[in-house]
Amino acid sequence: MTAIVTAQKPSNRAVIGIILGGIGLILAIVTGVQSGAVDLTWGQIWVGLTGDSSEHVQRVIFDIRLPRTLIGLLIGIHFAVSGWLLQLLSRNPLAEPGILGISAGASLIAVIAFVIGDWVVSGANPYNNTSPVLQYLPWFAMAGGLVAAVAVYLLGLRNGQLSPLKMTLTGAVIAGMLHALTTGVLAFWGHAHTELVAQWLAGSLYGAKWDYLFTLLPWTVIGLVGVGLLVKPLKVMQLDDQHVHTLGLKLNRWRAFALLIATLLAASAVGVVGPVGFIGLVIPHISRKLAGANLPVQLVFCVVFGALLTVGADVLGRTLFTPYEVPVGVVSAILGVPFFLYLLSRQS
Amino acid sequence: MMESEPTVRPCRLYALAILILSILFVLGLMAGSRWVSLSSLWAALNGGGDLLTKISVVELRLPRNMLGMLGGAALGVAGAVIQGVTRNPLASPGLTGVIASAALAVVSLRTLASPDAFWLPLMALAGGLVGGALTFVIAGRQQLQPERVVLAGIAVTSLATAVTTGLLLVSGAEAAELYYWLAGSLMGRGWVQLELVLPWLVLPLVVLFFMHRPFKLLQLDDDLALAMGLAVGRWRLTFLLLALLVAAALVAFTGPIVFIGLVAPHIAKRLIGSQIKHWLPLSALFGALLLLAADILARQLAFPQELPVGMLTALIGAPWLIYLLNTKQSPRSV
Amino acid sequence: MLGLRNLVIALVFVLIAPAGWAGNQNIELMDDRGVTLRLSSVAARPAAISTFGADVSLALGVKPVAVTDYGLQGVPDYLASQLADVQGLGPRHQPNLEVLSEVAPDLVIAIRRYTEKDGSHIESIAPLLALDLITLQDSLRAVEVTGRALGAQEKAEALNVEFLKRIETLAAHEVGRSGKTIALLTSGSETPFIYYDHFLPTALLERLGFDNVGGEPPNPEHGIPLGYRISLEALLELNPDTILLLPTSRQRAFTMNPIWPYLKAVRDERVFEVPHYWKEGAGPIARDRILGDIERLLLPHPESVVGE
Repeated sequence: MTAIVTAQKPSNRAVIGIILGGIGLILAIVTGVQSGAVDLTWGQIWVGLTGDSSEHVQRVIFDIRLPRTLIGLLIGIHFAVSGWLLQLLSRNPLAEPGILGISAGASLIAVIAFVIGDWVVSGANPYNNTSPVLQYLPWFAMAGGLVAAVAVYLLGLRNGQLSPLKMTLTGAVIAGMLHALTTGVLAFWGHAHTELVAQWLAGSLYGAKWDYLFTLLPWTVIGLVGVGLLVKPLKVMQLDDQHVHTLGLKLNRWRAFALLIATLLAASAVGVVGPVGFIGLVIPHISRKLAGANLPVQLVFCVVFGALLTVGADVLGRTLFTPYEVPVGVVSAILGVPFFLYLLSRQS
Repeated sequence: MMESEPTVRPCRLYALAILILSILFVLGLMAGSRWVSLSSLWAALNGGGDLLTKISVVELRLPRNMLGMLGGAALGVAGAVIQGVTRNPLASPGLTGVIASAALAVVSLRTLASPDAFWLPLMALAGGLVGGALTFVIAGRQQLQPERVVLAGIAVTSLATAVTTGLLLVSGAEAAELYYWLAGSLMGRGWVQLELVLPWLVLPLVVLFFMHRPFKLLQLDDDLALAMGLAVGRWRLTFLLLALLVAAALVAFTGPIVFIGLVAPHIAKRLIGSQIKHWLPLSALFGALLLLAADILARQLAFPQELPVGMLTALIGAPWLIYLLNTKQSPRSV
Repeated sequence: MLGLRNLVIALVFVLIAPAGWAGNQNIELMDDRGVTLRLSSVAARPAAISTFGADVSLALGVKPVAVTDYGLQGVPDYLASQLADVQGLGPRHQPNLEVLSEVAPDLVIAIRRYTEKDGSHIESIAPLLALDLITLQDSLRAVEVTGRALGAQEKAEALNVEFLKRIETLAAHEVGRSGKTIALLTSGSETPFIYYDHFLPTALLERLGFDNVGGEPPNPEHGIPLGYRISLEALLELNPDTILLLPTSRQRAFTMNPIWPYLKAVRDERVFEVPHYWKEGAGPIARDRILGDIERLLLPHPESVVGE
């Protein structure tokens, strides 16, 4: 038992995996800046990065591609780490941020914001440039996700104890209800806005701006620091409850903390890009396969591959059918499924 | 599984359910854009009265009520069957990803081609089958653990939803139309839809009712059922296929309607306890009752417009399930 | 790095500004968000994030540098021949920002409700003229303001005057119209969507003496919603003399309902399909065509009206 609790040395395979993943990630970021609907040569990009080029090149690189790629990177990390925490917490490899109702809560709020936006902005106030509701969409959606997660958490308690099973079931029921409500609201009131809302609901990085990055970054920092603090308790939590108690760990408190971190990471990411489902499910799975039982290594894998999948999926989504875009949520789902099935088939 | 509780006598339950159902049915004929009194309803059904009332009642409200009842019954039975044979109190068509996948199939057909309505149930069925199969494959060998199936179902649902949303984006100006369909509604459904969906619902339902013996055995231990001469695997598959068939066919015509397949069997089970042979018929009755009631509410709440009924079934179903989750002590029951 | 950039911008400004002053004064416009736009000169390279933008530009003799489309349905077909070689921007709710930046427009003529969320991106590329394009007033105002932006104020005003005059002419000839009550329906589903009175085509119909059974919108000042889903039962009660159907990509399921043949318009064979541009008809070309369609389909003796 002590062997599990003390730190393990990462295996060679893991080191190679991380190095390869890191190289892949760097390549993905470079590709993210280089490729898009408009062709830019390496020369143009170099000149653009050093700040001495046409307004167009500057704009494409600094206002459109760079924030988009970096936000993709962050939300990939958010979803992957959040999913990893939840899978460890519920001791279930199929858990993902969606089970806490985060995506569903955020979606409902976002749809309502779109619908209400029309009522709030009025011609009576000419200084009101654009609907404030839409401008602050990420904040609203984040709040919606958090409220849903707290509701799931509170309703999922069993006699004041955190019960992963009950929480999963509660989350599924609440997410199902919120999803039905979202569709209903959209069908009933969303007629003139449907296409715009659908873009958000698909999980898209379209229109990502620096503001969003700065909104997201504090949560990334809090989340990663939190996960860092959690690594050791998580190792212990994997053991069965009796052992945990003999080790003197305040189990419930740590579980609640892990859940809080997972929620913050997922809700903040959903707020910015909309519900992107598959990253939080697939990446932790892959990480576990590659890293074995070593939790810190798993975590590093989650960070690297979560970012890689998201940035890669976004690059594909915006270059495949220009000038049209396939949302990152759709591309990552389509990329993730075969891989997921392959992993499952090898498991059994 | 659910534990047995002090139970009500089944014949009383039947009588009560049928009574409420008949009242709802009459209410459903009376409610609409114009309230029809009992006397003019009677006149209209006998071929008299003014033309407008007659057409509204006979051509719109009557088939809509029938579709609501039949659809609710189908969802109730599908839910009970899936819950029963997988011995999993949460394995409803909605939570196993069947409804979302069937919806995805219909949306893709409607976005990428302009199909004849005849193909919709087939397509929904194919989608529902793939989705359901995927869920149970992902859940792996531990299918009797409710949370595993539910988590796999959520994964499949989120995948299907992601692809559906992607298709909606491509569909451009049609997106509003498809979202309207995705909300689930009985509005505007009439004899045409009823005729098309009828064979898909009635045949499997009749077959299911006749198979109540193997159904009962399947709820026992696998070894016990095997000892009593039941080919467990084959029967389980047959039941699941029939249940998927009715659920997916219904989705093709009404859009996804969630929670009825989960709630109706639970209510039935709570009331009858261990008298399994009454489970399917009562689930059908309660399902019919719930959907008909929700549909009447959907017609009246936002008058003169109509709310999507899927919204109401979710609003009724989810809190009830949460309540249930909080009243039981045993961790395996719901 | 920034210093150099600022220097370049300042230099460009110094070089260009006198040209602007020499030609036109600064143009100040107020769009429907209440934002004041300041153009240093007349816009010559407009991009359209709306059918309206393409329509109004062409009507005023300016070819847009880029236009949005309707996803699978392609570019608005009544303008297709004139837009054949114009750069596509993708759908109007998600115009491709990189492409928009590349074509370097000097004005973006946009539909407001689809550009609110990502407006700041568009504004960093070019001044954003975000317009409500729902009612008749919206259309008149939008044509006028776009005309000023494109340096064709007189032509735009003339188009408006002409249009209003044409409405008056058509309205004045009350030639015993059969089918006074009318409904404008869309949707391929089992339930049609009916438009309220304030939507441009129905507003035109009302002006011409028809009575739209869709009725008044609940909050006219907001423009949205454009209409609502009407149950067939309610439609049967309203029983309009004429039904106009917007095109759909599918067979309309509601016309298969047994109740459909009971409708007066169906019995009298007064159900007409109208073209796609009725959906976003605020542009001068589209709205003229809409009037033409109404004249052709619904007014009994079009020749006598046009002749006078």
